[in-house]
Amino acid sequence: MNAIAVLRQTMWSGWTDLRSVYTPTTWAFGWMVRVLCQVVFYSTLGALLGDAERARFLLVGAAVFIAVNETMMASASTTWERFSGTLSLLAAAPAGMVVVLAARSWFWVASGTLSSSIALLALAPFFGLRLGLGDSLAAVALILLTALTNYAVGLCCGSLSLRFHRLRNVFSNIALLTMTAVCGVMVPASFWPAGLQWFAAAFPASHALEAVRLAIADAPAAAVLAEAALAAGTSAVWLALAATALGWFQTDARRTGSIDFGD
Amino acid sequence: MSITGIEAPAVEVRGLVRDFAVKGGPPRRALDDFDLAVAPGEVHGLLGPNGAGKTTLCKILSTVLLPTAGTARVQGLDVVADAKRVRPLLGIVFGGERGLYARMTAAQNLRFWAALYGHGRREGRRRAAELLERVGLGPRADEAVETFSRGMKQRLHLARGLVGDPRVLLLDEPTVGMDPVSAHEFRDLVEDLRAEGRAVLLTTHDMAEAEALCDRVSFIDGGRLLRCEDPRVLGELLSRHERVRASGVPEALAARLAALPGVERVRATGPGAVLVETDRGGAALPVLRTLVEAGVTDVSTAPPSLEEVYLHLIGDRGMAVRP
Repeated sequence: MNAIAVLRQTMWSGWTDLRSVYTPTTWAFGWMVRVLCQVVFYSTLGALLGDAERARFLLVGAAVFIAVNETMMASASTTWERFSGTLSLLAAAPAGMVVVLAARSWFWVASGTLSSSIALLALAPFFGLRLGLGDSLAAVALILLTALTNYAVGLCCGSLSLRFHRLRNVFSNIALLTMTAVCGVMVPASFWPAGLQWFAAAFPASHALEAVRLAIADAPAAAVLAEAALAAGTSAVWLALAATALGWFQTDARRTGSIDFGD
Repeated sequence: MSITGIEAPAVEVRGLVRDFAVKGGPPRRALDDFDLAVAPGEVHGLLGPNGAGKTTLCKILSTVLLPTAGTARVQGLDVVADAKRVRPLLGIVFGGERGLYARMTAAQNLRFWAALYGHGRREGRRRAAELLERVGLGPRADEAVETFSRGMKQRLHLARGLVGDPRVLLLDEPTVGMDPVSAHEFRDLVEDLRAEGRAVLLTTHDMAEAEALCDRVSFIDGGRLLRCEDPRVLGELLSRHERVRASGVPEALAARLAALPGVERVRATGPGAVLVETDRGGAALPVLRTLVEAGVTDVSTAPPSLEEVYLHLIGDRGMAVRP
């Protein structure tokens, strides 16, 4: 099987999906305006508390979390195959559905990285965060890492959503809200009990966000890279879970007949 | 080809059973000890009412559903044990508008599926262009599928089913939504596929289509095979139930016809027009004699259509679906 050809065609399919979600105008004046408002809202809360450090903490957390938020949309877009009626055809195709489902939602990574980076870089000066060129480039690279590593979490939720179709919106929402609470986005991770901190460490977003914060704070490169490596490592585990869940779904679907022609 | 040198049937199903779990009740049997064989190059019709088990059979053959019992083979390969080797041999086409990426163009859709069937970039492009021409969509190749009519989508479905160059095609209600001209062209295309030696398993409700296209038809109901024959042989099944059409028949004469031995029933088909159905060979002769003696000259006999055979075998249960 020509995996490169499958990947290329799948990514093209994803690109057409993105164009169905946004036009350049709606992305810029709809989605981005919403993103900027959201980040300004949380950052302003910090500023109103009279603490510039808190404002910057909230700014970075809210801006970087946009990448997490968007890549969790991979959960929903994974199930679009069922709505377009292509799931049974993918299941019956020689290449199978794993590569297609893993790659088709890539556009959330691109969109998430772009919108998150714009939000951080555009709003930083208004909340007293000075970012030089080096810091900015490092932040964008680490935001890309955040999106890429969290994409695996979105895929895992998507695989579960295929299996438990009626709960398809539940998995991603629970995961997203949990990450918002415990991954150091709005509330420092150290606020939580040790057990919860260990739990939070299972999410790539915890480490990727911490890597962004360390890079912006001019921490040693080794510390930044260590967090980035932890993000990649936990992401690999989530990717394995996603593949397992997808395999489970396929086996179960063949047994129960939960994939219909036209699904 | 099998190891004995004898060509394996394109599709061979033996004792196939498929049960579906029903919450709080006994399992529902969708296929019940079902047997079927389709030869290479054969166009085989699968006829039956909604819920008869046609799509369940197609799903098992296409490897997306496991049978509860029995075996199903495609070109000699078991659809359960050899699913990965079976998939490249099959092309699947189902009716309706789903199963395509609406925002992609027709050519992009075919190139996508070509990749999934193992074709590289250049070969995928070549096959997409060739198939779009074949189904008459060449001039619309670069238009988004969402702008297509239902019939055009159906033709694209067929092209998609052929993109992997399959030896066996499963066509599940493929002409749904096609206009008569497109449906006629579709039939020509199926004839071409037969000439190329591909086996086609066609599920349809369109009796004329089955009669025109199929080498054999299988009637299925309640998951069971009722009959598998050449469409013409099936017609002969009822030829002993000869029918006589006549017009200009007064009511009194119709009543006399109904009283003749061997006449099953006399149906009014229009003002003064009747269809006389007999239930034994030779019973039509006294009917014809009685009509001619009464001065009726507009008389004809006709073999039963496949639709009549279908209704005879399935029975008349209106729109009711089997539990």
